[in-house]
This record gives sequence, structure tokens and C-alpha cells, in this order.
Amino acid sequence: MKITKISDGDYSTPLGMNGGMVESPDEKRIIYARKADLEKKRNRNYGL
Amino acid sequence: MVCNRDLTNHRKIFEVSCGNHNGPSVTFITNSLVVFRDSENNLPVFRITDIDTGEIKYKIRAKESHCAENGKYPFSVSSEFMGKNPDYPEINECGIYILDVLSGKITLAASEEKILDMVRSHGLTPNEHTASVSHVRLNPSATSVMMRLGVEDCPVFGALGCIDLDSGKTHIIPDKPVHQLWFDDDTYMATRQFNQGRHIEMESSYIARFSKDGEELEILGGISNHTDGSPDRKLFAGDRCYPSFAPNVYLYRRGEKEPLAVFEIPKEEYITWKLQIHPNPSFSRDGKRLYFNRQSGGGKYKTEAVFADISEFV
Repeated sequence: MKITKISDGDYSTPLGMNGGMVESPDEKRIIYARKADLEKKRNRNYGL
Repeated sequence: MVCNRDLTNHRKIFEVSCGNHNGPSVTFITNSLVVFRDSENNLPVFRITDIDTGEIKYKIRAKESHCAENGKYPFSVSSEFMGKNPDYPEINECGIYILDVLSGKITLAASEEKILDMVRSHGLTPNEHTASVSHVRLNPSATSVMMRLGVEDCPVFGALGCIDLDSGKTHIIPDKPVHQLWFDDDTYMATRQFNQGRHIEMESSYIARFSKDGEELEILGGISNHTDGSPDRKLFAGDRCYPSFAPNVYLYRRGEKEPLAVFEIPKEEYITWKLQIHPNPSFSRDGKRLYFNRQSGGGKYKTEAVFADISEFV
């Protein structure tokens, strides 16, 4: 079964909580987070 | 980051500060509004932002929800947030509030006293954390709000409380099933787990449907921890997020414990437990995609958001 990566870059890209709304109600857009280094826990470096 | 559903036009909309667990918990509210978690001065804050204009519509210091229903977004306020929301004078006591994102109206849905009374009236004993509820979530019609409760009697799983907003009637499930979501307006879907003393057992876990008072109504799927159901509630997904196991994601047909499909994820325990990235499956709105987080593998401390095309099962 085909698995597709969402991000277009070399980042970690976590989604939100289980059951969250990844897609907009009109099903046109996707929202996700992007972080360069998961080991930096609380730096201001999560891109949305 | 936002992109088109066909994975074109990726762009950054904001920069946030938060831990890895569930990341910023970002979720859509309307076609242009998203809500996400951030922090300021070591205090959690959630922001509701217009992704087309970049405007921050709301910034509220409180504990966030999983998502909005009908434009209504619930959140919880505990003592550490009191006095921290001067722009919202209606937030003047601890409890659960509901924000109507279009009108800006904020309503107190349950006071701290109401929450503690609910716990006591169901024969449970509050502890110092009981009023600091989490995972508040409205049912699809926004007529009931559920919440995770810490209580003295349920040290492992906690309890699941619910308040029917019109009648004020309350419901509690002690030693609740985990990662609960609304199945419909009156019932939950969640993973039933069993505590075997030193650990919570993976093999015996399963996804089930529960009444608001805890009656198990039907089995929905097999092994799971974090779970979700397709919009038509015919398919269910769960991750095998348990220590010593690869956190694979499983897809189930309603009522069957044997999976229709298994999406394998590399076993990178450091990422799962130290960096706290969990698969957290979520269905697309048409039910044809299953989104989840997957470890990149190869010893890298990386994880990527992916989706599986499950249209053949719809």
C-alpha cells in the first residue's frame, strides 16, 4: 500500500494529537509541524 | 506548515515553542483558521491563527483541546493560568470554557466546583490535580464536553468525565479506556488497556465503543494505543505504541480484531519514548487517507508525517 511523505524537505514533521483535523474542512489543505532537530526540546524552532 | 492536499505549495505560517509530545497539536477549525499550542514565559498558550492573512485571532493562556466542533473550541483553565488572560476578562475562574471562534464569545461550561462535585457525586475522591483537567473535547453537536480527570481512586488510567451542557447531567468512567475520542454524540471510541502490575499489556489491548457511563458497547478493532475512526465509522486505526515494540499502525474493519493492513514503523525507542513522538493516526475527511507519524529509520532521530492511501478499503 502506498505511503506518501507530506513534507518536501529534510525535517522532522510531526502531526498533532490522534483524531486531530489534519485537513481543512474543504479538504484542500493540510497542516503539520516542522522541526529541524527533535532533540532541542523547547527551543522556539517548531515551524508551523 | 501548510500545504495543498496534493502536497504542493508548502509554506510556514508561524514559529512556535513547545515540547515534542503531540508537537504543537495543530488542527484545523475552519478552512482558514487553525489552532495550535505554543508557550510564553514557560506557560502554555494556544493561538488561533488565520493561515491566509497570518492574523492571530486569539491568544489564550490555557490548556488546549484536540479540535473544534461547529466552530466551538473548548479549553481548560487551572490555577496557574488565573490572572494571565487580561484580554479575556470572562476567564475569571478555573474550569472549562468554550470559545465560539466566529463571534469571539467565551462561555464557562463547567466551574472547578462543578468538576469536583461531579467527581464526588460518582463516589470518587478528588486529588490535587483533579481540577486541572485535560483533553477536553466537545461531541460533534457541541452539546456535551468530555475531560480526562486525575482522581485518587484511579492512579494508572485516570477517569473520564462528561458534562451534558444543557441538562448539567454528569457521567464518569473510572479507570478509563485511553486516548478517547467521540464516536458520535452519545458514545466514545477508545483503547481498552489492562495494567499487569509492572506494565500495561500490549497484546490484550483493543479498540472499543463505550457509553458515557463506561458500558462497553462493541469491539471496534484490535491492538491499539492512540486511535481514530474513519468519518463513516467503518474503519478504525490504532498504533502499537508500547515499550519494546515497533510502533506499527494497524487498520481495522469495525468489529474485527485482526487488521486489514499493517503499516510498519522502524523501532526507534529513543524517538518514541525519550523524544515522545507517537504515530497518532488520524483519518482524512473522506476516509481515504490515514495520516500518521513515522520514524525515519536508519538510526536517525527523525520522524516524518505520512499518509497511507487506504481508498481500496473504503
